[in-house]
Order: sequence, then C-alpha cells, then structure tokens
Amino acid sequence: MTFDQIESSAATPLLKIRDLRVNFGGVRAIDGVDLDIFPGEVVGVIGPNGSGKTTTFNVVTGLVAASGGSVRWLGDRELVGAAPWIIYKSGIARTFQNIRLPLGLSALENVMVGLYPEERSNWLQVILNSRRQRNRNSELHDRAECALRLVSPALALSPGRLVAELSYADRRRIEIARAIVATPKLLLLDEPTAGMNATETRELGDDIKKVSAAGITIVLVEHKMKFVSDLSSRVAVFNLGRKIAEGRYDDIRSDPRVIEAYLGKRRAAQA
Amino acid sequence: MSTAISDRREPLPTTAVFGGSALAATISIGIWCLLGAFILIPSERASFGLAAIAIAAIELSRRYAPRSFEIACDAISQKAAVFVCVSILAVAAFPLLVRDDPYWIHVITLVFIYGFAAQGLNVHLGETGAINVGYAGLFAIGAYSSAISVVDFGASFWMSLVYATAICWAVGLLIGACTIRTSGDYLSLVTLGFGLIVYQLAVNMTWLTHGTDGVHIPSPGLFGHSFAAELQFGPIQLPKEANFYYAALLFLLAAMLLSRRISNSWIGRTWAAMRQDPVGAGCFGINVPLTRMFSFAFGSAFAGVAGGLYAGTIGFIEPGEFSIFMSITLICMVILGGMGNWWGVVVGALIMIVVPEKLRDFQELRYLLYGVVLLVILVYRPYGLFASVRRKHEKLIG
Repeated sequence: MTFDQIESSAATPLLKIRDLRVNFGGVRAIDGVDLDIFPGEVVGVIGPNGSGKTTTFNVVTGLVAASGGSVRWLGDRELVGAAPWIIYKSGIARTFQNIRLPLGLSALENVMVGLYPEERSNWLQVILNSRRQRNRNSELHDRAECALRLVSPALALSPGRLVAELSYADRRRIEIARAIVATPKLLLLDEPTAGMNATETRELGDDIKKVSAAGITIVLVEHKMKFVSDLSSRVAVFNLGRKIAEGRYDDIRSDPRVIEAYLGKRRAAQA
Repeated sequence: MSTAISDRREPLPTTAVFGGSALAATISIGIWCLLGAFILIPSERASFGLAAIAIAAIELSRRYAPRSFEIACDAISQKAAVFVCVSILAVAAFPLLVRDDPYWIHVITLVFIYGFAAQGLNVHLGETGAINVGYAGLFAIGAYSSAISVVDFGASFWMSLVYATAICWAVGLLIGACTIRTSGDYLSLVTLGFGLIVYQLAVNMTWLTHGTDGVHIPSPGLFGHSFAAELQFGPIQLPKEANFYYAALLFLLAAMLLSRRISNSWIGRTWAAMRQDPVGAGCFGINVPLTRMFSFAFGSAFAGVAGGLYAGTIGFIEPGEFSIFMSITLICMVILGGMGNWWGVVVGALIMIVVPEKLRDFQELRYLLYGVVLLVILVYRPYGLFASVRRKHEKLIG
C-alpha cells in the first residue's frame, strides 16, 4: 500500500472499538474502551500491568468473549462473537506475550501453519501426491521462506531447524513471520520485545518497520518506552481497563493522568 | 516435511553412491536375517539369547564406536529405498521359509492387521493427541460390520471392507462430534466408556451380532481363487494361510504409504500444530473443533479394514476378543513403536504380537516377562523405539 492510499482511506478506520467491556466475574478487565485503528498506522498501546491491553487483543482475536460493546472490522463486520479462525481469515493476525510455537515443528513448518487458510489441496490430492498438490506446496513453501527471510535472513538459511533448538529471540522472529506470512491487514504484537536484550530489541524494531513498510497496519503492546516512541505514530494509554490518554508519544508523556497511572498519585503530585 | 528433515542430515562420508547402497543393503539383510532367526529358532530360550546378543551389540557399538554406528544409521536413512526393497522382498519371501508350519504365517498376518489398526490409532494418539483407550470398540465395529454384511446380507468380503470402513468413519465422526468440548484425560474417559458400550452391545444385541455364539465368516475368494485353497505360484505351493498373509501385507503397505503422505503434508502439520497448541492454532485459521472431529473420524476409519481382515483371517469372531485388553495392546504398539511415526508403530505391532508368542514356553511367567520387556524398552527409550521428530521435541503449550 502506498502512502497516498493510506492518506485517502484514513477517514474510515480499519478497526473500530466502541464501549468494549469484559468482566471476569466481578472484575472489570475492560471497562468501556473506545479505540480506532486507521490503515497504515503503527499504534502503541501502553499501560501498567493489568490495565486490559492483552485482554483487548484477546477480544479482537476472538479468544475472550466480550461482555458488551462492539468491535467493527473494515467498517461493517462485527468481530465480537466470531471464532478466532474466522477472524484470522478476515485479515487479523497476532503474536503472543508468551511465545506460542509448536516446538516439535521446524522454523519453516511453523511459518507455514500461518498459511493454513490458503491450503487449497484436498485430501485426495494429498494422498495421491498429485502434481497440483506438489506445485501448490512448493509455492506456499516459497512464500513462507520469504516471510522468514524478512524477519531473519539467518533463519531463512536453515529453515529446517526445530524451534526447540532455537534461541528466544529467534522464536519471537518466527512468531512474527508466522503472523505476517498470509499478509494480514492488521497485525497485533503482544509485547514483542519481552525477554530480549538491547541489540535484539533494536533488530526487532527494524523488522517491525519493514513489516509496516510492506503495508501492514500494526498495533503494539509494549513496556519499553523507547521502543514505542521510535515505532509508533500514535500511542494509546490504558489503565484499569480504561483508555486514559491517546495521541503522539511526546504529548501523552507529559499528560498528568499518564504519569499518575505509572507512578501513583502522591509521586505524580511531587513530579 | 521431507525437505525439512533432509536439511538436517549431513552427507554420507563415502560419496560413492554404490558404496552407500551396498552398505544399506548389507545392513538391511542383516536386520531381516536376525529377525527371521529370532522368529524361526524353535527354542524360545535361544531366541531371546540371540535378541539379547543383538541388542547388546547395537548398544556397545553405539557407545564405543559411535562414528560407525552413525554411518550405519545414515546409510539406512539416506538409502531408505534400498531398505524398503530389501524389507518387502524379505517379508514377501517369509512364507516360503515356513511352508511346513503355517502357524507363523498366521501370527505375522496378525502383525500386519494390528499394524494396520495401529496406523489409525496413531492418528488419534500420535498425530492429534486424542488418547483413545477404546480403539477395540472401533475394531469390533469394523469386524462385525464386515462379518455381518458377508454372512447376513450376502455382500462380498472385499465390498464388506468398504462398508466397514465407511461405518467406522461415521462412528468416529459421531464420537468426535460428541467429544468436541473435551480433550486430554476427559476424552480418554469417554473413549473408555465407548469401548465398554460396544462390548456390551456385541454381547446383548443377539439379533444382530449373534451374541456370545459369535459369527463364522466363510473364506473369501478373489478372481476365482478361494482363500481356503492353497496358494500356487508356479512350482511353489504355499499353505492357505499365505492368502491372507499377502492380502494383509498389501493393505498394510497401502496404509503406511497413506499415513506417510498425510503426516508429511499440510494435514499432518496442521494436526501437529493443533495438538501442541490448540489456542495458537485457532488464531491461525485452523477450525480446531472441526479439524479434531474429522481427524478422529479419519483415524477410526482404519479400524474398518483392520477389523474386516481380522474377521476374515480368524474366520470366527465373538465379543470377548474385543475387550479392553485389545485396546491396551494397540495403545502399547503405538507408544512402544514411537507415537506419530508411521513405520514405528508397525515395529511396535511386531514386538507386541511376536514376543508373547515366543514367550509361550515360559507359561505362567509369560505375562510377567512380557511386562518386563515393555518396561525395559520404555526405560531406555522413553519416547518409544523410534520417536517422531515432532513428538520428541514438543512441549505442550498452555
């Protein structure tokens, strides 16, 4: 997607969250959140632990049922109540805070899992190992390798290595490759730099910029502020299940409500 | 992925293709000679002595000559075609060696049939992680469907295998649909109940299953050749047991090829991803409940042909054969051979059938020794004899 296209479609949000509510028993994990995501953006979502960032992701991807409110996709589709696999097929992919990769599969096989909805060969073709099935397979194989090369050229050189043998940072990269391989419209990254050192974090930032440049809209939950400020065009701040501020990173940094959420009331008064 | 696996292998030290093939052929012939000797030596004690020496030799060479051991393993894995050819020849020639004593032909036929069923159970246990402890129930449904359609409805034996497969597939789909919300330990409890229900129904629905009187199945024929007659290949005459031996062998080879194709394709990959992390799989477009259901049905369908062949080979079935003990034997085959490994489970079937037969000499000590053999194998090879790569490295998520 070129910059002009992004500008022209900027008026209609890709994802429109309105008055979203999630209750876990008596706990209000999300308590009326409104959030718009526009095409081509990189939106950072920050906030203290337990402020409802991951839960918002889980509702959008269908893993947690909302107690109220709506999540509109591409203007008219309601995502609340849809199954995770339906949501993935409509163009929303995600990564997880704790890496969720089948360790017994190779790096490439894991990325190919993301291409599942595009497997067109049926059982009979698989059993007969038809030419069409083999062509299709090598085509998807190439696409998976491309995605792997985008996040890590080193990994793409040995795509047959098992995830169980790879480092933590490499697993994160594979998870991102799996999420982008089917070229989703929206990518949700849940704390992608958790457990990474400074170099790995910087490299991951470059990878995310590449993904964004490829035209994929990104929402990013993250605790490392430097990382968020470098990447995000816009930042939303969550606290106690509510969105308390939204705007450019430099603006929200001095917002008293944000400082209060992070440092507490008394400290905020001193600051 | 076959390509993914081949990436991990290093090239054979000897670049000469012929050298590699010759080595692979020698090793394969050696393996089959040992196996044949183990089965055919009349003295059970001598057999187990031989097995102990062979295992000790393998262990010692692995420990003290690791390089040679590696070269031998590489030769087999890289020249798999040579090994397969030698194996098929060896297995096809086996009835010639025991022409005078058809008993062992019959036992190995049972190995093929159980190996076929183990392919199905492997889909449940190994590929999708559905711990099915009621596979004997499906096996019984396969056997009875085939037997009843032959005896009471006059179908041909070969068509009855098709019916049995269809019925087992449908029953598997039904169980899959009923257990859509359970998994793990709870699913095994449901399948346990299913196995018991089928047994009870087979005993009590006398109008259909003839109850404990059992059903006699007439010998089938193929292209005018009756399976009750001796098999004639030119000058070579084989006992009538060889008919089912070769039929079951062909079915087993087809099933192994099928399992291999499925396991290496996107279907096997999807199953592996779903087994290890159902939540993550759901987020990548895999409709987990539906995939679970159909994989369960697919694995169950194998019980149709296995049950039908079993009924045909034995010639008589009654409910007592399909007890929980049969389910456990099948599970042992899959776990022992290596879960998720399409050829490992056949090795499991071979061990689980042949070892107790060889132990007959020890009479009441038989099951004790049998248990010890299983224990020792699993102590030394906790993932089964030939664990699949996927299984060995996985750690279940969430």
